[in-house]
Parts: sequence; C-alpha cells; structure tokens
Amino acid sequence: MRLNKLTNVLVLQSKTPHTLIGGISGYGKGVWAEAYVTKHIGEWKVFDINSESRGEGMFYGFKQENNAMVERIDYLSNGLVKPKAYDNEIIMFLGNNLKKLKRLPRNIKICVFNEEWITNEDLKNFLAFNESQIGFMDTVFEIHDDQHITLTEFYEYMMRVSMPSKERQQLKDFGGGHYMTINTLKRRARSLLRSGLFWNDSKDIPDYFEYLNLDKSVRYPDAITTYSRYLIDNPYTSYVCMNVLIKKFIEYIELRESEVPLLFYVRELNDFYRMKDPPQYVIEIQENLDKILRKGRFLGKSKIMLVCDTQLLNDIPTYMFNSFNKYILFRLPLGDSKRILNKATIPPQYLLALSRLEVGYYMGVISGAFQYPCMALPTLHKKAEPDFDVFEHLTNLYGAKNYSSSIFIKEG
Amino acid sequence: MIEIIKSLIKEYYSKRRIITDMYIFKSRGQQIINVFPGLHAQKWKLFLHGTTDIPDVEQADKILDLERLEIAKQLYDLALRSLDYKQAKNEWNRIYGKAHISENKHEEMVNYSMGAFFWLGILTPYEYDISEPQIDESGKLLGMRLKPKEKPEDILKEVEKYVGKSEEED
Repeated sequence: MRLNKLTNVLVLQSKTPHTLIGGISGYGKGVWAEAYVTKHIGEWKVFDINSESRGEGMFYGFKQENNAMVERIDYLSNGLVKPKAYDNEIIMFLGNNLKKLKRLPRNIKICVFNEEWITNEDLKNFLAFNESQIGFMDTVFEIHDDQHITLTEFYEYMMRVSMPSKERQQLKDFGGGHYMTINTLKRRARSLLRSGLFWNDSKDIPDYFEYLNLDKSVRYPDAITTYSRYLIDNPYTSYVCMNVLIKKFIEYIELRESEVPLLFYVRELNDFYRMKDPPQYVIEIQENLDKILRKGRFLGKSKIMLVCDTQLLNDIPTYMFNSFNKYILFRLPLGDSKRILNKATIPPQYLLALSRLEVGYYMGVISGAFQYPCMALPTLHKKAEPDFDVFEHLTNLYGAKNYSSSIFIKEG
Repeated sequence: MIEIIKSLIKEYYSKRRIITDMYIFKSRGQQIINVFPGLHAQKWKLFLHGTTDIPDVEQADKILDLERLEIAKQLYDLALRSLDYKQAKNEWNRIYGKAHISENKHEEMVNYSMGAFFWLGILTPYEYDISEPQIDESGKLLGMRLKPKEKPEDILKEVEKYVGKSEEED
C-alpha cells in the first residue's frame, strides 16, 4: 500500500494572482484549473466564462465519483479532503440551437442582452469590418446627430435605405450608400437580431428569458456562475456574445458597483487568439482580457483574478503571455515549452521531461522559480466525461422546462 | 534512529553463505559487469585444516551466526530502549505472548524486536511517497511537489568500489 507523507507547506508568493495553465489536451489542465478556481468559491465570486458545447462548466454541482480521481484525492491529501459539490448557477445565452433542443433543464437560466447596452461604437465593431463599412456607419451616426441607435433601429433604417425613400436620398446627399455596403451591413444586423442574443420580446421576457444581471450573480459568491454559449449556433454571434459579456463585466467593475473579489476562469484562451487577422469585435475581447491582466490586482474597488488555460503557450501573443506571473505547465511539446524560459531559468532536461509528463503531473513556474515534478489534486466535483450526459442528468434532477411556446421558437 | 534500525535489519538479512562477486571491466569502449556467486568461506580464504582450496563452510557459518547474533543484540537493545521510552514494555510483552527472550538466539531477539518496532509504529510495512503541499499567497492549495526518492545507494556503492566515484558526485 502506498501512503503519501506530507512535508511542511511551501508558500509560493506572487504579487499578481493571474494564472496561465498550459498543456495539450487530456493531461489535466482543465482539472487543475477547475480544482483551483473552486477553492476560491465563497471568498471570491467565481465565473466560468468560456464554457461551450461540451458543457464542462455545468458539472460543478455534482460530487466527484470517478474512482481513480477519488483515490488520488485521498492519497494526495491523506484522506483529509473529500469530494464535494458546489452551488452552480448556469447561464446560457439565447441562440438558435434552442429551436432544435426546445427543452432544457429547469436550473439553467437563459439570458439575453439588452440592445440599449450596445453603444454606437459597439454596433460599428460588430457590423463593420472594413474601412468602407466603418465610413458608412459613421455617416449614419452623423445623420442621426450621434444619437444612440439600437440594433433594431439600425436594421430598420437599413431596410429603408435599401429601397427608394427619403432616408436613401438623405444618405446619398451625405455621400454614402453603396448598395453592397448597405446589403452587407443589413445582413449582418439581421443575423445578429435573428440570433436571439438581443431578443427583446416583452412576452418572452421574463417568462422564458431574462436580461443578463451581473449584480445578481455577484451578490451570491457561494455559487460558481457558468456562462455557456452552447445555444449559439455560429462563431460570429458567439464572439459578439463574449465581447458584450466581458465589456459588461469591465463596466460593472469600473463603475465600482461591488467590492466582492472577482475570479474569471477562461477556458481555452487560445479561442480568442487563433484568428490571423481578427475582426474588431475579437480584438476588443483581447484588449479587455489584457486590461484585466495589466491592471494587476484590482480594478475599481474589486480584487480581480484571471485564470486561463490554453493548449499551447505559443497560441498566446507575447504581450499577453508575459503579463502572467503564475504558470502551471502540463505536458507540452519542447518547442512550445521553451517559451517559459522568458520567465524562469530552467535546465533543458526539465523541459524535455515536460514533453513526456504523465497525466496529472505538472511544472509550476511562480514568480520566476520553477517547481517540478508536481502532482495536481483532482477536482472535488465531477469532471466532464464523454459518456456522461450532463443535460440528461440535470433534467433528471431539476426537471425540464419547455420553451416551445416562446415567441422566439414560434417565430423561428 | 530509524535509519540505524533499518540498516541493522538490512544487514541482518543480508548475511548469506553465498555471496556474489562483481567484476567490472571495460572492453572496446563498453563497460561489462560480470557477477559470479561464491562462498563466504572462499572469499575469506577460510580453508579446511591442511588444505588450501577446500572452503571450511562450517567455520564460515559460525562466523556468520556470530555476526547475526551481534546485530540481533543491537536490535534487541534498541527495541527495549524504544519500549521503555514509550513505557509500553509490559503491554508489548503481553501482546507478544513471550516475556523471556534468549539472548543467545538471534532469531528470537529479531522477532521480538521487529514486532515491537512495527507495533510502536517505528517501522511500517507501507510504502511511502513524500510530497510537499504548495499553496499560493492566499493559502489556496496549488498541488503537491513530489520529493525525490532515495537512491539505491547499496548498489551504487557496490559499483563505486570498482569504478570509483564519478566527477559529478564528487
């Protein structure tokens, strides 16, 4: 029988708490990250903000049942730590996939954004991707004397200028209005409106859907809040959704609406950096994440922490990579892990060993010092598994809510 | 103290009639290790009276037994001291079921002593890993750093006899 003798505890200090976890798929980065962020529940308000189709962020409410994991927890902690479930607030953003699913577990809230939250500049970032389109939208704002225009108003305006009308004549007088630009912008506006992300039907809200309310979530730090874009059926809308979500968070923090420390867990950070020539709405996400990192320990009145994971370190741009002070590295190819040499002096044989690490083993690089080999404590809650249907399980626990009668589905 | 007890036990159980001789030599840039079994008596050049090549196994056995007895006495002494220190001698004697231990029989002393060491928790049949819990600045557990395992020093020392210590280890 193997027993684990524990020595004295070593404290690894870092002035900034932001943490980057690297590791190729299946070697434990998600487990480590989830285990780490859940330890903050109660003291920090924890948000899991990049949960997608696999529904990883919906498992916090179940206790760890995997025998191998439970044994490892027991072994590493000498039986002191036991599996645990956490309160999990699951928020999904409305999208067209709901038209196919129709029913969702009752504990899942479906949220939408209020069009009023979107400024003219945001609208421009979401719809205009080249100079000609940007110029066109600036002209439209100029015609409207820079008044706030909602997405619906903009779409209706585009409908009017795409056919003979006094608005079209006015646009021509201002020197704008090529039909290709009009049609492209009109189509993008329509696709955003039909995506459901900005759904504003007064019969559906609040019976089926609700507006995103960060304050309500922040006031309940004992639960981890998961934002899922599972219902959104295309990458464009998904990025726009993430853009608005992060922007709302930054706004919330900067307006000093809360003093609760906030922890954001961003899975697969590389999702926001893989485009070679990213559009403005993706650049804004990058800028806002960078803003959180550069502000260091707090924004507004809130302490803030960013925990991100990525498959490869090289997927992250240098300015972003260098802003972290804590790195947890699972198995990584040698060419990729060399990047960590910017942050610590590590003999090459350790990097070689890193490329052969077994599942659950990692190297920690914190404040310029490296720790190797380290073993990750598994999550106390259940971890996503391919043969476990989380939707079915949540439905069995909480029952299902049928959305077939919502206007969103009826009209679709 | 535990290391002394462990080394005594190891020494006790390694007293054998047959020993292995290891020869290491280099040939064409390769290191070749040959291991040959042999008798202790032969190694000690303990031959039957009047001969120069017939090993006196009986005499060698006597010497080995005296060695075992010596080690067993040391172990027994350490066990008694440990029991006294824990004020648990009487209780252990009761559990062991045999109060008188002959100091001329190494088997008896070793059985008694090892039983006492296990019972007192000084020795354990479990295999241990050693790890260092690491926490962050706010006291949250990051993970466990595994401490290096002990080197199989006995083997290394045996090899060192023939090849000398490497520069790195010096």
